[in-house]
Amino acid sequence: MAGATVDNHRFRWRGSGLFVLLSVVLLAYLLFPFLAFLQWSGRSSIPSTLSEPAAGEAIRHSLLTAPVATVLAAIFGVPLAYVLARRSFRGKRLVEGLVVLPLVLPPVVAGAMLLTGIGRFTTVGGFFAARGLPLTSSLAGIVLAQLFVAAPFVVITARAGFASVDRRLEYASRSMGYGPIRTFLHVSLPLARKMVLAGVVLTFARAIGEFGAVLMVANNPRTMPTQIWFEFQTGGPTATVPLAVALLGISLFVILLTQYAGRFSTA
Amino acid sequence: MLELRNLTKQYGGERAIDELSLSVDDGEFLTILGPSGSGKTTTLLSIAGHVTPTAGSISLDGTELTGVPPENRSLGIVFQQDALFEHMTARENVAYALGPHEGEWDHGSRVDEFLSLVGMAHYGDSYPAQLSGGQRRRIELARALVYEPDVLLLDEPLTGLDRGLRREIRTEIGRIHEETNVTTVYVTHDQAEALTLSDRIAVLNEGAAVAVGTPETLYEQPPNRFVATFLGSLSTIPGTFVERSPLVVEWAGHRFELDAGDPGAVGDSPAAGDRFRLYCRPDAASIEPSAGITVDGEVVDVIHSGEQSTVTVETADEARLQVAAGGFPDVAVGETVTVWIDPDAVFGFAGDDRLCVSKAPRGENVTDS
Repeated sequence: MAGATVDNHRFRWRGSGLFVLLSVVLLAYLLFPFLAFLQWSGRSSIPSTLSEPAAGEAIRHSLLTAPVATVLAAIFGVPLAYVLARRSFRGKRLVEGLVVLPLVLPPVVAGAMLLTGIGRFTTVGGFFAARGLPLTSSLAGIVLAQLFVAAPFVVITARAGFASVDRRLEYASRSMGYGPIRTFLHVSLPLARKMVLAGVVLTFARAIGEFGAVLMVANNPRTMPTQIWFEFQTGGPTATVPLAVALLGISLFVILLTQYAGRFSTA
Repeated sequence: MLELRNLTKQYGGERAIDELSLSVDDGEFLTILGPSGSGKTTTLLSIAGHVTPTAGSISLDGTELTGVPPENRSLGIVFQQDALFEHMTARENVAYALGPHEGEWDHGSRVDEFLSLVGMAHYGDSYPAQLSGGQRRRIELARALVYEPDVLLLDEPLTGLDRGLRREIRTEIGRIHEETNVTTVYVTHDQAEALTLSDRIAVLNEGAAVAVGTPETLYEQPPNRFVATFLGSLSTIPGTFVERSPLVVEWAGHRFELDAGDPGAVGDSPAAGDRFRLYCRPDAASIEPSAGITVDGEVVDVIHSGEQSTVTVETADEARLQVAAGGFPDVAVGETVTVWIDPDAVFGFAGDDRLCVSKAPRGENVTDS
């Protein structure tokens, strides 16, 4: 008996050793560019660069647009995720495909598609531009570009979360006298909250980091990623360091904050 | 009164429920009993409004329920396996059910009352994850009853509990029904649960009710072969058809005269000398001397289950008789015993199915004549 336990233990250890080894390889590869990049940071003065008006403006724009895009994605995406998890309807496969499509498009193509849809000289873009709300080269345009590429994350992740909630819990709530919306708010959403939050975090991360689609729709005003590109063109890699570090810092802070909130929200 | 009329639910080409008609009286405990896939759960979910029937109607006290959303039906429901809200304590789970009933009761004391009813007064602040399977089931019962539903629906509520707990919660369900007198529809595939708890049982097969009756009637006078074999154990007696009217069947030197009701029911197919199966329950047979006919045989199996045991006796014509006996009967495998059978409890089926020919008025011993 004791021998069997030891053998079993040794086998498990050997197995996990392989897992650790493989994990370390990927982590090392992920970490390497960060370290290499941060080496450059010594050659630039982060605080003085960030205090320049252009950098401050970019940070403000990013901090404004990414949360708005995330909130919009959640407001419209979470209900869609719920419908996809619970209902079957004609053309559901098509809808599911549509949701994934922005993920496989190169961001530049996504941006080009947005321009053909909401550009200043299109019907929709022209309509809004005539009323003082241009959808390109504006903060609104940036939000739309971020929403387009980032919304799928919250839909796909939240959908998996809702699918893992036992239907009978919703049935029970309905039979107690709660309507479908109250049941969703009291039962389905709290029980799926971890996945929903994970989806929101992914959406925010993608939105704040999005470059290609945002640049296509709005060269100006600049967000952190587009300003970084501008700095790179004029000053090379070193010039990108201050804003890149700020972007990393902000993203990390938001991600940790959301995870912390998710752990302690039990209601 | 809860009434289902010609209820039908079709999934693609399959009929999960096939023109099912049933009625449940106020305060009655009705069990829907059937094998898996017989449409029991679909029926229950249709009553609750979580499944939309393809055709037919469901009404409660004369009010049509079809088309009424679940939240307006006033039904309590307990599911197979857990449906407690893991993010709420036991008390919060029960209180949640009172949420839509603003001002109807003093919610705090109402919750306490129902936690006590199910014997969980001291566990209000526990989260479901901290409770045992039986305790969770009790909380679910409290949650389904606290808002005084017109009907309580139970979908195999003992699934996933171990044997001892099954019995305990089963007794508890019976007691709670007696205390609250709530109209109850109980779905199960377990005949012991059905026989113990129910006022009436509806036996379902392939989406249709094949029999409805009290446990006693269905057990002692099953109206068809399906019910006979599905409900309780059964010995098959290889009888021989003698004559049609009155229906007489012979077995092991005994003549059984059976009441087939309509003389034409037996049909033309059996001819004298054809095989005609008879049946009897284990408790209609005894290895202790008692009234009735006798047959000798060899003990081939003895199964003890504590207070009750079943002795299987094989006769010369290879009929295997299951005989109910006391705790540990004094017989051994291989031993030859005499079995006494109550002839009034022997029954058979005329035609292939459907018609009951139970209760022989007299089982005459023809060997002695």
